[in-house]
Amino acid sequence: MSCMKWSLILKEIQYRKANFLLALMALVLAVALFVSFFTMGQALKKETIRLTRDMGFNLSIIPEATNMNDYWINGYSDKTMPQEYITKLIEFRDLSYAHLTATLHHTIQWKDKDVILTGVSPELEVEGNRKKTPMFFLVPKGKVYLGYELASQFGLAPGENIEVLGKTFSVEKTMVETGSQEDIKIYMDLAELQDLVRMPGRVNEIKALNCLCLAEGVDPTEYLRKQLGQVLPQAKVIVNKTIANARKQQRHTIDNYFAVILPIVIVVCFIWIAALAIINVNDRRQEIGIFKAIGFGPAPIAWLFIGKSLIIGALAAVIGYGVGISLSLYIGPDIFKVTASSIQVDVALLIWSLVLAPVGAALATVIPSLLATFQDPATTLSHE
Amino acid sequence: MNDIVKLHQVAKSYEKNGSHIQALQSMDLSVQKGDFTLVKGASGSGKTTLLLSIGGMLQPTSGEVHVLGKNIYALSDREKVKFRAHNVGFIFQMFHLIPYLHVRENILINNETTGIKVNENDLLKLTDELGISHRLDHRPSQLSAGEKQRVALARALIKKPEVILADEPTGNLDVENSQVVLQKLRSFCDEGGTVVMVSHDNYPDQYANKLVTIGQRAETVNL
Repeated sequence: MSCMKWSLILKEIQYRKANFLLALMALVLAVALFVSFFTMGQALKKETIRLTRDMGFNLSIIPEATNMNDYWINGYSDKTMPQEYITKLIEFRDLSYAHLTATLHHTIQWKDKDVILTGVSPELEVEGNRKKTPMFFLVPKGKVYLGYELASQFGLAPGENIEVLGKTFSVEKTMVETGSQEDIKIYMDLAELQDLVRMPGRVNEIKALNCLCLAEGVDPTEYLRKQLGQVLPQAKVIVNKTIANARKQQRHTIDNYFAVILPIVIVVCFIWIAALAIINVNDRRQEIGIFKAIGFGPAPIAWLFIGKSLIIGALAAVIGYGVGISLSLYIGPDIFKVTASSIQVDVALLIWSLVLAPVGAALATVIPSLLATFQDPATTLSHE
Repeated sequence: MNDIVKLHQVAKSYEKNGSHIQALQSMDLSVQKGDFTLVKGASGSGKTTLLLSIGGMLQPTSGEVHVLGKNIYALSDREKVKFRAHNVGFIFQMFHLIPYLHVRENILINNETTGIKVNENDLLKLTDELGISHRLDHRPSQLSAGEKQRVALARALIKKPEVILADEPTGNLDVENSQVVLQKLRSFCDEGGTVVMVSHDNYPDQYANKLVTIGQRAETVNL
């Protein structure tokens, strides 16, 4: 394209500033939202992972012979199973469970109160799966985590020593109030609890997590039970549907965020730019007519509009990127307090903006440009 | 005869708001090199349609249009555009200058289509003759109607076309400016160019050597 045509485009932009600024504004908005959505989206994804992780395990694998009435009354199975079941599970590569944690629960009288001792093993992943950030805490040997109710009833604080079944433990941490059975639990290392209650190598629950993100129409509980039945017919799986549904809801929220809002914004801006281009073509009907009379062909005439869109697109990419990043860095930390550190300047988004914004703007101008080239000069240049 | 423009049985009709409009009826026309042809007729008689048809911008419904010996509507779109860029100059009643370009750029806009670089001396000589050399760095909005038409005339003349098609170029001008424009068009013909001009007025008659009246049927008389 010759310098003269670029010069024509730039001069026209200067002349019709309002049209240019409105189109630029639309595209800056689209790019800024695109950039900030993706920048803050990283924080949102991490926040979602953290939220769903904090919701806890949604699967419990317990011995097949468990009396379910007792299970729901006590909060754990009165039967035990070998700890090596967890090894069988992680060796079964087709298993869709994650964060597998073996636990042993045992109720005792402690300081004249019923308390639940809970031993926790380190989390394991099915072989071949990538390592994940642990969902559950790990209690060091010789230490305990005290439930909120126990800590507050007996005025215990981290660093103090307590005695459990004749063995001294140091309080590593006191838990926050959960309003559940967790408040009367004493957490410790699984092996230490197994020694204390003389149940070596036994557990009564394997906690796990499953995304339950199966295809529409597949019952996740039935699917998981079938999977488990292949490996451990001596155990059964219980799905905590409240947690599962909350996780699903959270996932849908984030999916909607990316799948619905962003495309709507981009489509609206696309229509906005196309409408402005049509107005521009209409304003320039006589000009297009004279260009034709002088000897401009359809391609150079279309280029006057598409070239203008490319300029608007490139400018909007740079400005929009700046605005989007600034918005993310300024507002993001207030919204995503915990995962604010993941809101960072991403240069790849600038490159994407520089490619997508001009292309998008040019595409939005294709139809108006065609209208311009097919315009009948007889109607615009004639005064009869 | 050295026909620069030759129309044979050219007709143009179209539909508008459900009505059939016959803009041109079986028109024959011969314009020779050096002719200053004046086209007259009632409003809506198809004068502008005739000019645009000669210029290769409005395809007739039937008939043939030959310009410089070429059947213009037998050319491809690309050839037609190129042909128009090099051989045909247009002047309109409403001037149709590009509003965001200075006078100089409006005149030199042809460079873009002809690819021929205009000599600065030629530009200054032509604009001097038309009395607009002091306006080269002004925008159309800063010019009077007469100056605008002189810029449009310069734009048509600068590329040294074979034919100038002028659609009521004096329609919005006072007598003084009209005379400048008509005199320049006459000089163009005297130097071997050809003009086909549409007008309602009578005073351009003295500059023309041929008069075509469009009505029920077209009539041509030598003035």
